[in-house]
Amino acid sequence: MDRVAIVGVGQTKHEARKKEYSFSEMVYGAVKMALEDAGIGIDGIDNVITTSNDFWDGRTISSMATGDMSGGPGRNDSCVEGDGTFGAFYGLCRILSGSYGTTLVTAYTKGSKSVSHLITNAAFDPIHMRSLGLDMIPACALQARRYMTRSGIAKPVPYAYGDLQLDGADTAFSYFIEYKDESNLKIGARVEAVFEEERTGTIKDIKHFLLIE
Amino acid sequence: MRAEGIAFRPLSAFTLNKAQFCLDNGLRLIEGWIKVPYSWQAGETASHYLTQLRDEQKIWGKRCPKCKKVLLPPRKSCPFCFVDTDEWVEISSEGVVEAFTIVRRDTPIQPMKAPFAYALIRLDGADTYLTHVLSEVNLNDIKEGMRVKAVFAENRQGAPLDIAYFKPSDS
Repeated sequence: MDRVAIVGVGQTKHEARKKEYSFSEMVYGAVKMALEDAGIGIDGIDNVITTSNDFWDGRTISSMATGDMSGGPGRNDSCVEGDGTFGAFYGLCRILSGSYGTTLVTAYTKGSKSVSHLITNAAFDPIHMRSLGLDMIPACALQARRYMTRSGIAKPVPYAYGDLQLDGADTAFSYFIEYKDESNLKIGARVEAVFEEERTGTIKDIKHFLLIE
Repeated sequence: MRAEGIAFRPLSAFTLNKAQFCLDNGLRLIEGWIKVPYSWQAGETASHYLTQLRDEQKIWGKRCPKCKKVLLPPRKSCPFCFVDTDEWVEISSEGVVEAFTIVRRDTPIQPMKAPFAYALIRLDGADTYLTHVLSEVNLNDIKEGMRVKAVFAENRQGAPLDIAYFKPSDS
C-alpha cells in the first residue's frame, strides 16, 4: 500500500476560554502554524477536511463553519462530525484513493464554553440511561472499575487515585493512595510508596502510596 | 464578567433563548442556551419494559434465540447474533454489583444528592448489566459481588427511575 506522510502540524495553546478568538479564528491560527511547519502556503493545499463536534460547539453542522478559515473556498472542502483522528483518517483515505493531493485536516473544540456534565450526559441513551444523570466522569469510572475488577487490581473502597510527583522527578504519574482521614488528601500532600513483599517486576510491585498524615 | 444589558431579541426562541451579548474584558461574549424540545420514540420493546416497571414493578428482559443470553434492558434484536429476540423473561429485582463508582460531587443532573454510587448490576436471570444508582448503603461497604435489590419509586411514570435506586439485599 502507498504511504501517506504528515508534512506539517499546528496546534493552538491548550487553555481555557481563549477569548481573543472565535471558533473559526482559532482554527485559522492552527492552520497558519501547520502551513508554516510544512513550509508551504495555502496554495499548496489541494483539499480541506474540517472536523468538529456539534454539542461542544453549541450549533448543528458545526463542522461546516470553519471551512472558510481553513482555505475551503475554491477547494474541495468536506466536513465531518467527530474527533480529529477521524478527520485525519478520512484525509488519509482521500489521499490513498489517488484522487486528492495534499490534504488539510482541521479539528477543534472548546470544552470551557459549556457545562461538561450537561454536554456529556446528552451522549447517553435517552430511553434507558440519560435520566440516571450519568456524565462521562462516573461512566468512565464505572468502566475503569470493571476493568480493574477483571484484571484483579480493584481495591476495596475507600481509596484515592492521584497524580504523584516523587522527589527528584520532574514528571508525575498516577497511582493508588491509601489514607486514614480523607480531609488530609490535598494537592501538595506528601506520600510514600509501600512495596509488595513479593515483587514480580511490574508496576504492581508498588502496593500503593501511603498518605503521610 | 459584566453584562451590559443590551436588549436583544432572540433570533430563535430555542437556540438563542434569552441570549445576552456581554463584554468580557472588552471582548464580546454571547451567552445563551442550546435548548431544543425533542422527543424520542422508545419503541415497542422498551415501551413494554417501562410500562411493566410502572404498572407491575416487574423487570423484564429478552432472550436471544441463538446465544440464549438474556438482555437487560431488553432489546428487539441481539447485538451479538444479529437476530430478533423472541422471548420475554422475567428478571429478579435482586442481583449482584459488578462494578461501582462513588460520586462525591453534585451536578445539576444527578437523581440524588452526592455522595451516592453508580453501579453496574447483574440482576438474577439477566446476562447483561443494568446501570443504576445505589443508596441506603454505607458507601465504604460497597464491593463487587455485593447483593442488591431494587427499590421502586412510589410515583412511577414508565421511566428508568421507576426503580428509585438499589440497596443492599440484607438491609
